[in-house]
Amino acid sequence: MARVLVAEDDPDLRGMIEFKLASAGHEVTVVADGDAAMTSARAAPPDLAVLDVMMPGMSGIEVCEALRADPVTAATPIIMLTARAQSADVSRGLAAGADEYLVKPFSPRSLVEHVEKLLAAAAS
Amino acid sequence: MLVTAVCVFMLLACGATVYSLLAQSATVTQLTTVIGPARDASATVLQAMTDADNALATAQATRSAAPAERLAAARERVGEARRVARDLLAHPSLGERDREAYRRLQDERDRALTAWWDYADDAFARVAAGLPVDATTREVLLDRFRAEHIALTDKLVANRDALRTATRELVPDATLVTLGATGLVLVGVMLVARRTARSLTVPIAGLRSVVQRIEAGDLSARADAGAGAREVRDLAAAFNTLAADQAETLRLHEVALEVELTVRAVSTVREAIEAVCASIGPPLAADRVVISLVDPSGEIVRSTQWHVEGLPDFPPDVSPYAGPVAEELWRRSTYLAVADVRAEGVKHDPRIAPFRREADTRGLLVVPIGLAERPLGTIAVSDGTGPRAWRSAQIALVHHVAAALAHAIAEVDYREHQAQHVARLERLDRQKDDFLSTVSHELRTPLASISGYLELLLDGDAGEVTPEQRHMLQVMERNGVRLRALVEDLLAMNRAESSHVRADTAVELAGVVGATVEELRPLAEKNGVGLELSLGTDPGPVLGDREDLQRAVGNIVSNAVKFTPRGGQVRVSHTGDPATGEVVVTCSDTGIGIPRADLPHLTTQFFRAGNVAGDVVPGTGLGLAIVKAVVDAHGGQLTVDSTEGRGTVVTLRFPTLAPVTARSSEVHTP
Repeated sequence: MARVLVAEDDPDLRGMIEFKLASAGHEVTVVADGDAAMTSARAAPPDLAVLDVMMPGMSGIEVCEALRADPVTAATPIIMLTARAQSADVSRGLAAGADEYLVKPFSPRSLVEHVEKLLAAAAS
Repeated sequence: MLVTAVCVFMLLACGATVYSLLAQSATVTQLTTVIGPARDASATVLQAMTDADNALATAQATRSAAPAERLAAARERVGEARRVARDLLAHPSLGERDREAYRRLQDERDRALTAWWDYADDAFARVAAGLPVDATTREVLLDRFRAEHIALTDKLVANRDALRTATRELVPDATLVTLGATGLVLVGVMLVARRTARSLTVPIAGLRSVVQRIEAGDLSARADAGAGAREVRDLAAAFNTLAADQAETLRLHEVALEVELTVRAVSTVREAIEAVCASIGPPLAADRVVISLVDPSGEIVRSTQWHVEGLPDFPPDVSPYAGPVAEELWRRSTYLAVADVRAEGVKHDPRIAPFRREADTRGLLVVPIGLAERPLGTIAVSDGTGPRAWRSAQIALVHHVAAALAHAIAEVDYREHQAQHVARLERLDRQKDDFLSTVSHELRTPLASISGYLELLLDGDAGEVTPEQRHMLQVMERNGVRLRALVEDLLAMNRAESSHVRADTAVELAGVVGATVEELRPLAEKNGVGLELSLGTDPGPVLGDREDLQRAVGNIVSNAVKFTPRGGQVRVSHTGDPATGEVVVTCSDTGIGIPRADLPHLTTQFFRAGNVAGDVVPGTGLGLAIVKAVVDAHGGQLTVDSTEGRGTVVTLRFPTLAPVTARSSEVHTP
């Protein structure tokens, strides 16, 4: 059981992710934009963050960079979600410090798998 | 002067020759027409006298008058011959003294003759009368005649010999005079020849060498117009004028080429007309150049001028003229060359009115600028120093630069249009990319929700589903997958067609092919299709976009796997074509094949072959279109060979990064 922060501006997708991760037994905090994600992460640093790249306000990339810059969250596993599948977008996300990159549409099952894998890696 | 002297000399020589010949001729004439016949006549007298004496002697001896006739005949002949000799020896060609001497000698002889004949008549009368005759007296008288005759003959012979000697002496004299005259003539001719050489041959040879120098490119070579005969000096002067004209023409031609190069190098019309303005004035010896460009309505849109220092600027009020003048001159393919704008004939020509108003304009040349049907303006060159004749080379220079200007203007127009066009196309292309990218992004997010929730439902995360519900959910999921594939393919298509998003790097295609085959192996195994990879010689990397190339290879291999029934075989190979140095990727299958009629449409977007349209295998109809776009973007070649029911062979050919090197190394390898 881990605390997972989910930042996704699309409410349906946000709901789906929240449902799947909660079903997998995680404590999920959902926010709709990057600024809220930063506020939440500062208030209660999560064990893992799932960030959508394209969000109003701070983008997922910027949030990722900010989290990496903060010593508290510097090691927090981060999964990026994006609708942009081109290699340039992927490498930009990874360069910002993301651990994993999922292209929409993605399988909720594989999201959970990635979350479990990263949490296990962080724990060890 | 010398020629005259030589001629006089030659005339004198000829006169001397003629005189000596005439002298010789007079001597010979005297000898043959006077002395010779006189001697003959004298001899006749002697002979006739001998006959007469014989006749008389016969009469005396025979005491018969029978020889009277002979005597009479002899007398006749003597008389005749005597007259002849007397006439001859009175010839004026004989000197006064000779004539006197001959007259005296003949008188003496005739006295002896008369004495003999007096005796003969008396003696003959006595014989006829039968009287005795004294023969001794006859002999004495004949001897006297003989003596006188000999004196005469001696004189004649002496005279003859003297004449002969004179003739003999005269012949070498005449020869000498002739030879001398000939020699003098030769000397004269040589003098004349030398003088001719000096005054004609040498200057003409000089002229020839100048021509050769000019031909060899030394345009400054000039003939010496101060040497030689007057005609040659005139010729040299005329030649020098011609050579100077020629050099001027060539110089103007060079100026034209230079201006053309300058105009070609500039990037704006303003720079072009300024460059022309400044460059043609001095070579044309003009003091003002005005270039006016007009728009299709005849309005001046741009004007520039050059003039020598000290002249005022040309007033810009040529507007009402420039348009119509450009139009008229261009339409009639002509120009305006005015020697003097103040001359009577052109005083009222409205076309040159603005120039006539300028106190500093005399000679004026106006050449139109234009392109095809469109007059673009005029170049006006003027000279205020006085009336001047415009030479054709000068007019040609202005024509040449007018043409260069027209081309420059067209070029700049074209470049501007081209740049605008390219910019617009690039903007459109980017807009299309952005649009597609945004659309696909906007599609992906709802798709993510749909497929995500479907998965949750199918996984039973929201509770158990009935088999019927599951079937329906699966249909929805399958179509979600299809929609997603369509989005991916649209993006891929766009990517392959947009050169500006492609990242060109050296791609090892063998690795791409190998990875693709391994990626599709699970699908092949699931479908029960054999998948085989063979790697041949590698001719080297391909310059291109890895992602696009992966997609192209992936599309053809996945097509083969998808359209090959269970138990079939797919063979993928990567090798080099030694003939062309290309990389050749082949994918052959034992699948369902493609109907012949569909083969030409395979690369059409959203086209699906007739035998798969029934949704046996899902697809977007973009797969091969993407392959085609990728192959085209990489300068490659796509060929599809198929027999329905037997299978399909798809071949991709790509040029390698350095195909030339690859080929040449083959050539050099034994």
